[in-house]
Amino acid sequence: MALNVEVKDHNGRLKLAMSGRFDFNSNRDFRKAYEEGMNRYPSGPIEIDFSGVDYMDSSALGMLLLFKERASEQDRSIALLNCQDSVREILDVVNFGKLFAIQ
Amino acid sequence: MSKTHKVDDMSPEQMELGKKSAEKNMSLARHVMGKMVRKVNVDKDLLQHWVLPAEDFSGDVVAASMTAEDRLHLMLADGTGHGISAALCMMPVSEIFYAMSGKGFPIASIVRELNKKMVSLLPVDRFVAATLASIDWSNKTIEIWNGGGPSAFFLNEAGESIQVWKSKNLPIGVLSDKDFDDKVDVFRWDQPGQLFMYSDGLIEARNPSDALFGFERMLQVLSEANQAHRFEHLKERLMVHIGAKVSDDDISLVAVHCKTGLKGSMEFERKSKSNQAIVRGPHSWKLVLDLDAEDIKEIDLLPILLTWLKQCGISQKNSQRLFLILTELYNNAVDHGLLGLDSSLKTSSEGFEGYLSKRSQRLAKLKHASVAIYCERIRDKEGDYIYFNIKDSGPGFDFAEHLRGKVSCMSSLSGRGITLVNSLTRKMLYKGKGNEVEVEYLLSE
Repeated sequence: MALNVEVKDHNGRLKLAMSGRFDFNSNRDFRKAYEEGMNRYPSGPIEIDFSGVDYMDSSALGMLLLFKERASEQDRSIALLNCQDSVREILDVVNFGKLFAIQ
Repeated sequence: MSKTHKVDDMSPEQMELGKKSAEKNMSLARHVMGKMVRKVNVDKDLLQHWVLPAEDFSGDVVAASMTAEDRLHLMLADGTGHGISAALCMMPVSEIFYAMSGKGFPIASIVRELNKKMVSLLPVDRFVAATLASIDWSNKTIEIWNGGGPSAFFLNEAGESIQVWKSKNLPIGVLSDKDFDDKVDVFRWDQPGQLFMYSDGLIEARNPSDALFGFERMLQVLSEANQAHRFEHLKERLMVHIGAKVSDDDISLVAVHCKTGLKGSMEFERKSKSNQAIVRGPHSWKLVLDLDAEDIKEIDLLPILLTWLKQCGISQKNSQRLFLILTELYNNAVDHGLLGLDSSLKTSSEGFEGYLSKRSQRLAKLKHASVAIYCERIRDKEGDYIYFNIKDSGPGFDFAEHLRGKVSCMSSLSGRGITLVNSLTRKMLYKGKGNEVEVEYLLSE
């Protein structure tokens, strides 16, 4: 299943709720969603809800790095929430916990 | 690229032309990259390696280099993606690895340089997962840095995993130099075995019904065969697993045999004979310079040595003292050892000026002379120290007499150099007929 990203509100903050496969093919959808979300919620910390994501590859990691850079320009942090074990494992191998708050 | 056409608008002739041009480019790329990839030139008894690319070009790189100290430097790097773009990104990685290993830099410095370079070269969303290892058979130690690679492990002869190195770092090319951590893990093996490193393509290889090969299966397969056949057995079982399916990702595997062979034990004896428990620290290196008469005339040696010390991370305070020590010892070797100048000249009526003009006259005429400089960073119980040995081809001097008078030397104009060196170093010893001197300088914080 292709990646589906919803822009949601979490107590006035930006939350991206994602589901499906987060991989090479998600590039455009993911970027479109976070740009739109950042316009709608121009400040404050950002959350990404991973609960519906069952697969993630290294280009998805690259997209997270791009998103992080974009958010850093506005001094905003990104937290990754509700990661499934398979996704958590990948994030741990590359030690993304040093870049993102993983909850 | 001159023009782009939509495929629909192309005539069959244009399409054929485009295809030919693409093929030509690929063949050129294949040629250049084939030249860039070095053959791993390490004894098969020590190291086995295998790379199975998913496409024409591999985004996985296995590089191995024996250092001057007989350590093996090993790197398994996996760039984001695969095919030609991944392979292109990996070219500077192996170049830096080989160049720095050849110069004797420790893996911590190599990985820091790799990170710095890749951060500046790669786009934000690209990075390189890598595991670097340094294997020292004489001390039975393995140093490992793992950033984003799958867990490396050490198997004993029975095939049991007795040490696992998980990735503790972000991959190369993500963090700024300031945030980058180059700390390595050190492991000492007390039983023989093998170090295994591999890319994620191996454990993530799928069979035709989409089942992963997996970490557990890999360990199981390795434990089935005896040590001599383990590597080939894993390869075979993996190929059976993949079957006719084309692999999605590059697969690479390396194994290092960790035993205490003849070489190791000889090295050990030599060290224990010297009656010092010398442990080579992570920053151990040595530098050997042999200068002949022409070199002595032309080369400004001291800045070269100072640059070297700086590059090896020696602090400024230590560098300044080492510079002083080297200046004194080197000048002694040249002025007194080779040129036969007498220090008392400096206090004679001709004074310093006369000394210097005599020096340049004699230096210009110098033939068949040599100075050998040996410099090594070593660690022992007291800490890290720099060992120097400087030997000139001159007739030497009566050092015993010189040292007897050393107390008074400090107040006289000549001979202060040696006294100064003696006071700065932990040990200073003249050898042979006085044409050879060795000193040990303990590095301070």
